[in-house]
Amino acid sequence: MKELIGVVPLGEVPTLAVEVIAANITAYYKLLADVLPMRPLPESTFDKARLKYNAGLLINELDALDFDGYSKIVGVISRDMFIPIFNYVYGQAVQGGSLALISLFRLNRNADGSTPSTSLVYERAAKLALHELGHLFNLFHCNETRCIMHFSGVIEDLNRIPFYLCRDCARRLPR
Amino acid sequence: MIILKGESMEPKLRLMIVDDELIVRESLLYWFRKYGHEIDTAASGAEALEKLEQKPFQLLFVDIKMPGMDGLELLERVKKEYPETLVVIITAHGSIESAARAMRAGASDYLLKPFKPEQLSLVMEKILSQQKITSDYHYVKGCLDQITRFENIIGQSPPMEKLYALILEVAQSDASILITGETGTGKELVAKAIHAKSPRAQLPFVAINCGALPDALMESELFGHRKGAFTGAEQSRKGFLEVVSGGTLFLDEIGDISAKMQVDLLRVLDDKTMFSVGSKTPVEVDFRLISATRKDLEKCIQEGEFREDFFYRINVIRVHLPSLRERKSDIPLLVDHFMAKYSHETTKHVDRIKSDALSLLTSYDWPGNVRELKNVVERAVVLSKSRTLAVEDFSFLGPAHAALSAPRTLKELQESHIQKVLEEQDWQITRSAEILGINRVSLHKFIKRSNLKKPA
Repeated sequence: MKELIGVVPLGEVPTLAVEVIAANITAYYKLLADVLPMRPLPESTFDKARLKYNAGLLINELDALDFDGYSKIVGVISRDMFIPIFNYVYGQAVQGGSLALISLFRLNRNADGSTPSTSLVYERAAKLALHELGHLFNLFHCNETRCIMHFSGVIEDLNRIPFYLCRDCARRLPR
Repeated sequence: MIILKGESMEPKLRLMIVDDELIVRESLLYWFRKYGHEIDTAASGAEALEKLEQKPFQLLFVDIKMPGMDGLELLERVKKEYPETLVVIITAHGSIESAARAMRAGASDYLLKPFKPEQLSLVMEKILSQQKITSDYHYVKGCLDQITRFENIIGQSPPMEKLYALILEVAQSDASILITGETGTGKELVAKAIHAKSPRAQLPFVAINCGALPDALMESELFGHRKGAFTGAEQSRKGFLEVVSGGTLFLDEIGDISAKMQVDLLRVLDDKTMFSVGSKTPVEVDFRLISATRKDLEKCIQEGEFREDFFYRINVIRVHLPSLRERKSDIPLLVDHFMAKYSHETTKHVDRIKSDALSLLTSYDWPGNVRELKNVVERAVVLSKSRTLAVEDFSFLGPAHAALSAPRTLKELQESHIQKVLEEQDWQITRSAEILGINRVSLHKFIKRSNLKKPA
């Protein structure tokens, strides 16, 4: 089956953001990526104690939805999310699986508290989606700082990494 | 050990997450999978220890609060039994006191749940750099291990240091060497080492076990034969004395050769020429002779079993090998070596030995010397169900000790002693019969009557 990637907004997400993500997936992975209709953000995944969405539960909810014809799905939310051991996560993916998720929430702020330009926010969103999609292609975190699969712990890391895969990771990408 | 996967040479770890909460185990499992690490999980301290018994882990993430054995107790056990395994403590109920206790007990780091992704990332960077230091240490240790070896001979005890110095000294001369020592002390290894350090090192090393060959066959093997020299000699064949040309000839169990063969060899050593069986044309030979024996040849001479002139010809330089009893400090080194060898051969993870088991091995007298130790460790590795050898794995050792505690009949004692001697001698009947002071036929009869069996 030819890889077809679906980018799905969960809840209210800027249309331009998901379009930029889809365009970058096509540009860097050379795969067709469609923007899919918005799906409601499942409130059952909201943790009232931590005031964030549980990324693990969100992935489970995504799994229950029907995305016929799409081999991989990247969900996009505007709200903050976490996994139980971490305060927050920018993105989450099932290693080697078909479902990934990214949050735009923490991309709207620079490390010094200032507000980034919209284009920088979209650039970060696209990088995050490309990184999580890499995990769906079973790529691991990479030590090479000039690689999209390099782990970004803080927002400056995300600014620094490029959009593309390093040579080693590109070679490991399934054909 | 750092596992290297794929082509990028990124260090990958074998790690275990120990937490009673499934959700935490799963979160960390998914997270670490993104790095390609090999991950296992355990829901309790006891389960973690069971898994550590089976295979080594480089890193453990351990929750403090768990039912049964808590994280700090597990940390202490791990640091005591597996000091190379690094432990990161994770807890949702942090206190300065518990953090201090964890760090004092040897934790590599302490994380408060929930933590930020970059905190875990920093911890992992630190761990990987610690692992790099450990890996470098093992590399250097490997180099040192090479130093503790001398041409595959293992040992760094004073008697062995003396032996190495002697080997280096005698290797340079061309004089005949007689290696003496108890069975299983490694006489052939020493002969090979002398050859390897000698100017003849690039030329052949030919070893013949004189005890294993009947006289006629030995003659043909050493001197070769012409076609038609005897019934069955359909082709001419070069003997080892010719094949070894320029190299070293090692005659093991020289005390077992016949009087005729002693004369024949003496002639070759004196004239540096020999005749193939059935040939009248002399062939020039050039070799360095190293002989070995476990027998007391001086005594054999007195008893008329060995020629004195031949003895003086082969005994120009004497190298005596210490028994394992005389170099017990080498036992841990030898055990490590055999554990690694047989773990590798059997693809089992057996890389550790409990101190009481090592004490047992050190207190034993090893009448069969290094060969017996090698067989004992091989058997223990093959039968071991965990990665750590314990006293129970050597329960088959020392029937003599058992004999002291349990009253036994004379017949039982006789059987167990004969079985022990046979095992020490790898079931070589001639050698075992000699040690027991009976002839081969009697030994065969005894084995059949008592139904003694060679272990599979």
